[in-house]
Amino acid sequence: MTNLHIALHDGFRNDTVVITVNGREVYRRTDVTTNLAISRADASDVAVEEGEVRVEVEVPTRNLRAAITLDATQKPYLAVEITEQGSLALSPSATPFRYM
Amino acid sequence: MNHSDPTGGTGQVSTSAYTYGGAGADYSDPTLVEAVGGEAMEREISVEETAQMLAAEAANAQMGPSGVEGTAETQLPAQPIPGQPVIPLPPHIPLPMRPVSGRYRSPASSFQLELRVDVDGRRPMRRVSGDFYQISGATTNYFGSFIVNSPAVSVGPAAVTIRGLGEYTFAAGAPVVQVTIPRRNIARPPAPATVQFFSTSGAPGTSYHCPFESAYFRTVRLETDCVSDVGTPVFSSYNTGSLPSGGPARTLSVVSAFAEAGIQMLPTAGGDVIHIGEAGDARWSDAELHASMERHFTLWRDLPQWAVWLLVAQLHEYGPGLLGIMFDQRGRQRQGCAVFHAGLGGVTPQKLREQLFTYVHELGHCFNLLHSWQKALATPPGTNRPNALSWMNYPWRYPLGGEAAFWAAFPFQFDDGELVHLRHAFRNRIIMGGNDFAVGAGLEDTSFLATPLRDVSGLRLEISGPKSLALGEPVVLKLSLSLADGAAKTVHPHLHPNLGAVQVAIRKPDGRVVAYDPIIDHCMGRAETQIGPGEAIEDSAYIGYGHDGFYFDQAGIYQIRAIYPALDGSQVASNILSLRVRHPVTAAEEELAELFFGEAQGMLLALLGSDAESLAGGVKAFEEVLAKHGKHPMANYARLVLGVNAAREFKTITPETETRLAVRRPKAEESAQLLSAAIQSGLLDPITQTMAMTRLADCQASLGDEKAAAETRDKLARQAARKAAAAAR
Repeated sequence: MTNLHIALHDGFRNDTVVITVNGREVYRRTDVTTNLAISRADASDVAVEEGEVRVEVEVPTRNLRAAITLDATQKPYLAVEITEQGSLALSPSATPFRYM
Repeated sequence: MNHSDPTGGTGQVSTSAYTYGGAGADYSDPTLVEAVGGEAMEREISVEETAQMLAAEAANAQMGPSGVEGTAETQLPAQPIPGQPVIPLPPHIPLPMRPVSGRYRSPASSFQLELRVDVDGRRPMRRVSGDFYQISGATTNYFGSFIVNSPAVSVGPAAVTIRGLGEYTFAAGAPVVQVTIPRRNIARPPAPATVQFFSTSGAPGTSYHCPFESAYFRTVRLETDCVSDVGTPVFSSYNTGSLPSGGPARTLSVVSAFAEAGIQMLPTAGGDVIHIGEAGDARWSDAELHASMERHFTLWRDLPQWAVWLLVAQLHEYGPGLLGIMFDQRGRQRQGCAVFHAGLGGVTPQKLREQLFTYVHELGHCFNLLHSWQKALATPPGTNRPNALSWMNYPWRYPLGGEAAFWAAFPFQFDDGELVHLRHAFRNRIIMGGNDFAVGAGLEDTSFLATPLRDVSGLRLEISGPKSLALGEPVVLKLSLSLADGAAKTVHPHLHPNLGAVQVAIRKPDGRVVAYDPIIDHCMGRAETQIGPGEAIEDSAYIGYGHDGFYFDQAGIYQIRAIYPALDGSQVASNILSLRVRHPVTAAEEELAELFFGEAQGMLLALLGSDAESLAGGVKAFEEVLAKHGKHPMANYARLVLGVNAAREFKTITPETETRLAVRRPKAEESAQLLSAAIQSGLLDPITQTMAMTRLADCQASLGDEKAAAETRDKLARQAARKAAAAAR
């Protein structure tokens, strides 16, 4: 098993967010809002099998949905963002996120 | 003194004479302030003024080149004394002139004015701003602020004059600001500024005599405390030449970094060592930080003040990835921030650089600055600048090459928009404990109307609309996106401001800048399209009414600019559209304005009609327009709204039917009649005209009038062909 860190970054405002990993719901929260002082809304750590995992993110309050398949061993950090154009962006990373 | 308006807009006579006529050259580039001594005429001048100028030139000749004053010795004529050897005088070395930028303050009277002049010196932002304080007995209250965003700067041999229309936090009767500052060389103390307010018709209002106070635009007391478990040194200074960077090498501390921006940070008593026990489990939460601030920040008060607390701590509960936070986001906000050495601590050049950056960045939030890529999230929204080489960006988010590229180019400074905010933001938008975080964080938003310093996006956004409108007449903006250079580009097609991407700023006749805020936001999914040479994406948008009500509700000159956020993060600024809203002249025009200005009418114009019960009053008003003013051109807007709505099937929820749904069928005949007249009026913009004609053809077809429908579609096709031919040319 390895840890997948999923962080919600920019663009959330009183939103409901649902995250599933390999079909299993691992995160569901309402009123998710980005703290503009650090560009971070929330985060969750999920234990997953090593190797490829499929992550699906849904923001029903905006009718948004996106999915990604990533190697959680290589890239154990996943940023979720609602872009300026109003779409969901999922960005895996090999390094931890920093905020200020 | 008029206590309701410190500009004296009710016609108060100036208390001190306006002594400089502003006849000098208009140098919009303030860097020329030091360099230019001559004058160029920008208007006809009287003989009296000519005499004054000749006298000034004569004095100038005595004073030395470029209007620089000489010493008393060098002004004496060099007359040889008989019988004495002639000793040559030493060459005249002119003394440099003082910059005029800085902070000035009038003596305490009924109103006190703090004035900030920013036209020369380091990175001049070409602005003048000020705050009024009302003094009553032993109490002083903040009254309001103003800023002149685009002043004319005239430089003469004896004085600098800065003049322009101000934007105010209150309704100023005399909104034109003129600042006159005598020129002094560096051997003499700085001269006071005379501030004279004028009405827009040129009538003088109040004047203020403001002695020089400081070369800094603001002064803020800074208290720094440290937590007991921080195992690495608190940041002191960093030499920016230690690692590659984009600016000159210099040693910077937090204090000197802000000093470069024109902000004086005065370190005050502090230096408390806070026991880590206050954080409970050695990881700080925001609530614990706030409680600690209230306990240890010596200067903390529950009111707005120019004082800020910086806590150096080890670890936040979000982990070592959180390098710093402006945690004070409840009550009177922005009075405190913290930095965390779990991620920042160390003494290598990289660590010292990161410490400097984070300390300044968090304090920047306390001044109500948002991240560079989030300026649009301010209220009112600003312009995102993700490429900014600024303290307020994230180096690792830098779109033009990531962290290494950012540091290699970063000159260790705030960007221009942030400098404008730091130096000139309305007082409550910046003072710690003033507006909530992100509210009013975008005074730079008024620069929304300023032309970008650089735009290499390759895209061009053009807006157009009527030059002149009757009061109450709907304002429809046409937006067109095309290529600025030859290469095809991928763009998103969402031009309508209601789709959430394009922002529209409106400068009202009183100088206030507001953002158009649509009553309905449509969240759009990601869409991309190619745009090639000669092609354009177009849309039209009704922007007369939004969340804030009617935007064009008074007669006068308006300015409009739109910003298109491109897929690469570029903020493509449109041209500025000037629009004049005319005063109603006749009783009919006055009545029409009344009939168009209801809230329900605004909603109906934005929605292009509705059967909603709550908007029935608006429908009635438009029916009255048709009944009483049917021949007036404005009646065609009512026809458009009623005609488009009549053409559609309209569903409403009702408890009265089994399905709980009431469906009103399209009223094709009524719609065709209304739309035909609106189309024939020639009043509609081309895109609305096309939409109306399409609906009309559908109505005609549904009525069985295939001939009329075919004719309408024919006209549409001819219009489209003409447009395509024009685009090809």
